[in-house]
Amino acid sequence: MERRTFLKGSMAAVAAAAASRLWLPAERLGFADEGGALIELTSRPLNYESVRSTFTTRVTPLERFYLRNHFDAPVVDVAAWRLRVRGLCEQPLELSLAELERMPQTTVEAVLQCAGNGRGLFRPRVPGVQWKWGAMGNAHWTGVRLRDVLERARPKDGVKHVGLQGAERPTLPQTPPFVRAISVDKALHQDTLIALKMNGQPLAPLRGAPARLVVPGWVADDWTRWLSDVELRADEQKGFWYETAYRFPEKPGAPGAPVPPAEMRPMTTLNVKSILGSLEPGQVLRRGTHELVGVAFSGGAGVGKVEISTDGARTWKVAKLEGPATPYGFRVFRQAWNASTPGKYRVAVRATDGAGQQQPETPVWNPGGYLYNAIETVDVEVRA
Amino acid sequence: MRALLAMSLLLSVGGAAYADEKPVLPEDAPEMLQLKSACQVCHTLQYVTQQRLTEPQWKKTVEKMIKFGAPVPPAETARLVAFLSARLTIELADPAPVRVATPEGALPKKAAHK
Repeated sequence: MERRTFLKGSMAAVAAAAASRLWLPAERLGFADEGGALIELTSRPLNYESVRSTFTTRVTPLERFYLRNHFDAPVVDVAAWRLRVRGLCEQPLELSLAELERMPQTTVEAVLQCAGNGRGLFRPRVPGVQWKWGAMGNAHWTGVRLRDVLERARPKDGVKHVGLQGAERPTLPQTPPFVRAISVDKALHQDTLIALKMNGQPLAPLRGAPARLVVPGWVADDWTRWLSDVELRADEQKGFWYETAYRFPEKPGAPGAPVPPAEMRPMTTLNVKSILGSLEPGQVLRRGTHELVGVAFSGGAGVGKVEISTDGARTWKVAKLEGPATPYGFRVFRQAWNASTPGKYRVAVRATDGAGQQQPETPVWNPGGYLYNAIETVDVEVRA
Repeated sequence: MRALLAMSLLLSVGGAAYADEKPVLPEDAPEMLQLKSACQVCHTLQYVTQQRLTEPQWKKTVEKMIKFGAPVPPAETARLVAFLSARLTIELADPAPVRVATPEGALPKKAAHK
């Protein structure tokens, strides 16, 4: 980087330094880790989001994968750990890790995304962890199909919901424990797993070891870590985290307006989204050809197309999608940008999923600040 | 250059993004003791200092936290809400991002010491 840029005050220097370090060939972007691979939102409990350059590769490396916690992470004694299945079934189960490992193993590629990813971008503001873009990642998850376990428990007629709880507990007794539930249809889906591995490695403690739920296409609040209790139910799950939190308005209203609780529904499927990982807002580029790289995904319909605009969303060009199609995973997109004229540019990316749903220009505001998927714009400058 | 970057990041811990910027919550304010004892039972003050809310939103948030067990005497609630809503307003800029290393517990054992 040039010396005169360095002297323009510390903020500009820091931003420019970050920019010059990040403008590397795309295959190296995933390794620009100086200063740490994650952004700290809170150190207790651990809430770290990925830096933007993470989103230039299909599979998110474990060291760059975000962390989200409501409470302090539990310490699980894996040898003593059991997965309990109970409720409306003929044969309640208690399975050890070794027993799960002996069952048929399946691998699914899927994006894990926090429901509140992008909450910090909503206006009016929404309280909660102020995630920007980095509370998401794509991994290969390996484990046992949840339905294989549920079938061994021989569910009785009338099961409609599957309650989920992990080993985490709140610090104070007044704080509601984190209990979630999914529909029995999703629980019996062939892609819903009790995962024991992430990207081919046994789950690390903070990733939910020894076992976590993987609910491809659905928001992360259902992907229970340190999974210990599965309950087959006829009625809906009770508790704050199911009845109040993680709900989305049936019909979104005016931004900032309250929504009556009766009109809120549990969130399920992720919406189509894309991010340009190869540019930082405020970045200064040299005149010439630059490769624009990022990732796109949807909640099960795959990615139909990704378009890029370098003129503030006036004109769009279809980007090249790399690698095989995937219903739930990241698809890397790539496009050469000939930035031959110095000036200020607003770069935008928009994805359309395989069912024709396109990212909106403005996000759907909701009281929880969930499922932000508006088209993102990144302002950069090209200099001679 | 790297040293400068690292220094700027270090200085941003505690709610002040840069060296010349005052922390969003003044350490010597009389409300700070109450705030710390109420919030830090479960989480760091980062949870608080990253919020940019209106007065009604702060009131709702503080009441929710009290319901979740935050030890705030009823007589102190209004003062705490006033303190937070006067300082952590919607006009305030977002805190500067702080980069951190991946915790070992988030990595498989053999990769932890790379």
